[in-house]
Amino acid sequence: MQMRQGDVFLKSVARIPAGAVEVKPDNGEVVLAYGEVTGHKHRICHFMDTGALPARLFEAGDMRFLDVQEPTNLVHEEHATVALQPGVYKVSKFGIGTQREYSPEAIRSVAD
Amino acid sequence: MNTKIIRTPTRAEGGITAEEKMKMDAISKEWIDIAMRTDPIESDKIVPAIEALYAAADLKKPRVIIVPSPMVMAFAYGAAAWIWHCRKNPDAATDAATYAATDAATDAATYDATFAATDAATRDATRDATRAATRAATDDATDDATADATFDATYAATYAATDDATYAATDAATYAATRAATYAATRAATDAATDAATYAATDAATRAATYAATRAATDAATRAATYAATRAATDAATDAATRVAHGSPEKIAAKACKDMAGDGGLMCAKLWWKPSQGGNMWAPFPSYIAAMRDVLGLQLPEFVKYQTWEDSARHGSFRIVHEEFCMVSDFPKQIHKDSENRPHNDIGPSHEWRDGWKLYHIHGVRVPGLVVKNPEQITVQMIDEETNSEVRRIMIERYGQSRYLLDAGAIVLNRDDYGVLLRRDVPEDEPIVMVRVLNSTPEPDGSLTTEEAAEIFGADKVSSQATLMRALGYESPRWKDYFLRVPPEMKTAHEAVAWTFGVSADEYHPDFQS
Repeated sequence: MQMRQGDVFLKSVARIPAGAVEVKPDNGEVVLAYGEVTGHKHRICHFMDTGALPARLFEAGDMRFLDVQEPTNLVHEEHATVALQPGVYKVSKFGIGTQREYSPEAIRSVAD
Repeated sequence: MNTKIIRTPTRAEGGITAEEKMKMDAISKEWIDIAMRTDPIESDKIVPAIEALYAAADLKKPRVIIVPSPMVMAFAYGAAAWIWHCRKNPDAATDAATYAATDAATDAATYDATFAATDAATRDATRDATRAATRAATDDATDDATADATFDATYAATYAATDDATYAATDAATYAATRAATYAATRAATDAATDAATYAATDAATRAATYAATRAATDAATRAATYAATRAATDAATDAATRVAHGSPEKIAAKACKDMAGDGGLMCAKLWWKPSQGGNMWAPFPSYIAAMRDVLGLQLPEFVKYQTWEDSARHGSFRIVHEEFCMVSDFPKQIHKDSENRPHNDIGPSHEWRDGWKLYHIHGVRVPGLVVKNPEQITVQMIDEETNSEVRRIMIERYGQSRYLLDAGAIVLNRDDYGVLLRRDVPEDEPIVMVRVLNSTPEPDGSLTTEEAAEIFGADKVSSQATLMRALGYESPRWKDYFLRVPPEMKTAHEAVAWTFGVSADEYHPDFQS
């Protein structure tokens, strides 16, 4: 399973690597990417009734993984909502960004 | 360290200790700050320092002239050096007089109509350097030769002698460690932003202005010979005044130089760098010697004369050492750098001197002022005519890579479900290849209508989304496209988009996109 929402690309993987560290939720939300210019976020919100989060974000070196425990939605101000089924997903990551762009001297990440 | 630490007034061996390293870091910082000075030069400090420097080299006391910027220094030096040369070589003087007379006769411009700061400064500095010199002794040596001799004398007596003596007084480990802690550290922090930038920029400015001045003179001569002669005197005066008023500071200074010393002055101005020394902008060496002396405790006899070099570096910026005069530039009013200490300012000059002379740099690359101040005036033609590939890249970046691609006529390499792959060849650089993609979700602030989006990306790709949007109540959705630069070897839009996510085309097949 592969999904793309703007510059965030999710791909199903078997499991989260050992030693991965959980990324703390931001204000009760799991944020996959922050728009540096607009302030918009690719995010998963907590359940309104219980306040519980349906997914957890992990970091392992320069990779990130999303562990979805209950069916939920990835939302963003400028993109259609992406439905997520339970499972483990690898989240695209390049430096501080989620998509890379070529530059003759070096690779730099995209700031949306 | 396995060698024994030795510290005497004449020997320093065994490398450096952690405590010494800390003190050296402080010295390095002090000299970096001196290199980046932006407060005004103080004549009561620099004049005695320069006079002492000449005395240390057994040279006669020079006239010390403070000039507002290295640019004025280059032209004022050119004029003054040539005037001195002519006074000492009467044959050359005749040539110069002929040049000047011809120039004056053919060029109707009366520059006193608009006395710009640079014009006045160049003239003043030249007069200061040559005043009361009518009775100067005749000297057979040419100007360049005497200037070089002065440089060599001051340099050999202070800098070179101190360097040699210090090297001899230390072992390899101490020398290397001290150099690394001071010279190398100071150089890394200052070189790009001060010495290199000013040197290159002054050289370029002098070349450009000399060319401009020469061309302008020819232009004036032609005008005088043809239609200017038939025009009313008031017209000619107005025209000339306007041309001068609109000139860049470099042109004005070059004109002043040519006015006072003819082509000989301009030729000397082009060679300004030969007898020049960096002053505070050559900070690495003073920081290294200060470490040897003040931290390791060396007290070598050479340090006595060297003190004059250090004082001249502490209290003045770039200088030109001539047998008769020494011109010292004031410090810049401002210096802007990036985190790597390269001269840089996105929105204004990287360097500005108190006479208004400015340099512009983007991450260490010198660019024309327009590129920084008025990027909206950059055109595709200007970009394609730029011969320096680093400058061209910056111009393209500021113009907008994607806009350049569209305006300059890019080739469509491929169009598929993922987007459009475009290429524009750039002279003497790798081609710009970008993938143009459509945001799957239409947005209120999108720049493309459905028809435009369909034309660029294909009707199929747009129509299904448009139908969905209409079902949701958006009658006339607008579309946002964006461009991502990808490696030049990309063959399809699919491969290019996959690359932006770090996967191959085979691995990239999203089940859902928004």
